Amino acid sequence: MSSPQRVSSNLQNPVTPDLDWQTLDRVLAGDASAADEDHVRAWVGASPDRRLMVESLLRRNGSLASVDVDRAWQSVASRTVSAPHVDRKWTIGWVAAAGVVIAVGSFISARMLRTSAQQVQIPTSWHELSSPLGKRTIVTLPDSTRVVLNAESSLRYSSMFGERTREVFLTGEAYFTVRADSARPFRVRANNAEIQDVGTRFMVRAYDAAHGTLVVVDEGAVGIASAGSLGHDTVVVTPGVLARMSPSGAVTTMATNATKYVGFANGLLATSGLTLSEAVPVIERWYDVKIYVADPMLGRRPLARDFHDEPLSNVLNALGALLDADVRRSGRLVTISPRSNN
Amino acid sequence: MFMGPNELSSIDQNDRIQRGDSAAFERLFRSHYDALCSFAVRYTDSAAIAEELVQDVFARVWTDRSRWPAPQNQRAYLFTAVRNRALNVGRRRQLEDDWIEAETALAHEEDESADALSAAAMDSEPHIFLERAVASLPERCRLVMHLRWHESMSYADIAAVMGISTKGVENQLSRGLRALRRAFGVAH
Repeated sequence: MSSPQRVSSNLQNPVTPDLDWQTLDRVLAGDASAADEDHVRAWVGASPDRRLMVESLLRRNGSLASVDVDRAWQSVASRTVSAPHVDRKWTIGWVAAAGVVIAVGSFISARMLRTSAQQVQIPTSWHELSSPLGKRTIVTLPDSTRVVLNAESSLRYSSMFGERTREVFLTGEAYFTVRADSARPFRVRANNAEIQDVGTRFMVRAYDAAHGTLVVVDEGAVGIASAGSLGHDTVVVTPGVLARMSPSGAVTTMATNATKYVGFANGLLATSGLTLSEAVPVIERWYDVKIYVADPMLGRRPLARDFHDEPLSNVLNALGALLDADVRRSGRLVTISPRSNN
Repeated sequence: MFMGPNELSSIDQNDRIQRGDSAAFERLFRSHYDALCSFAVRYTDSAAIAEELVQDVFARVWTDRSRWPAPQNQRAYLFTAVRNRALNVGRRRQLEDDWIEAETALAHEEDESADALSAAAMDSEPHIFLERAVASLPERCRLVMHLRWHESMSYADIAAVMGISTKGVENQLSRGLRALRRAFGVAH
């Protein structure tokens, strides 16, 4: 005894009985028998809607177009197989044996390691300065160079700093006002980059090896090169130029407004000209919050203003008004969603 | 179980990774990186964060390589690690949990919202239409469909990755297909 509906369905498609979902699933998963495929082919042939659905599902591409596996491998390799095996105690004290390569943790690249091996550094102790999430920290180095460390950034230098050279290792973002001293060049190592300067003001951003290293100069000039190549492959960076070294060591430059990059040193949270998605990591770091943008369309909206080290609540209110969005905060989590109409 | 040449070489590869062979680790990385990023981005909504997360998982695999699982479980292991890491990132955990709660209650509403998509949209841009229909499904359902139809994973592996039963995987797939059929006007 069949229902009236079932009867009418059979009348509409007398030749092709309905397909169970398992058969369609096997075909979509590429796990189908020849019989399954015949079955689906017959089913699809009976209606354009079915064909459209199955064809779009088969053609659906869930891959991320932007993935660069080579670059990603370089980045992972530098943290794993190419990373030096080091006694972790080095951060707090002396490395005992002479001739030991002083390893600088996770941000050393294979290339830098080779360089330091050639130089055979002598045992030394390290100083580390860091600025946590949500804070900017101003430090003065032994040579009276002034450094503004942005949130979630750290700077290391050895006890030999200033004896013949002045060399610091940066993870994160920092603005340097370097005390001029042409006899002892000031060098910043960040990711796979080495940046040299004699006396100037500049910013280095190196939060994440995969995103490369950015350099913007406020005054004077600096040279940037792959670690170990300073002197022969150096690109000179002057004010108004943004230089980026890719993880593979290539340097590209473009004109920029320096304020956008160096403003943090003076408490400027520069978000104008960024889309919301681009601004999210900047704001997250500045205030130590996590921001979830509920709608991708919202993420593409441009922000038309900067903030001057204002309380988080001001920034969130302003974002709500700028984007006509609902901004809700619960502890350290901020959710930005399209304004509901009711 | 019959063991083909692929399984043999993956056992070999497994030993090499455990012994700290970087070339074997690189092969593992290269064969799964893309797929894991495509999966991770479904949690993060940001390709950069997805990549970072997958790279962290591989860095962890290398550090903990002595605990590297049996070859037949490697893919499910990597996907599970990526999912756990993505959930730990935190911002989406709440959302996914909400979806589980709401799934049953919303089943009818979802179907209706899929119905509401215009027929004209379907004719002009079937792929955009499909994406919109898929987007109207609960997150867990979308993730299961991705693992099944894009990664050709078995029900058992999907169940392990998503922390649900194989019956749950079947429910998600049948529900998803039912909703898509409705959206495309394929009533029967």
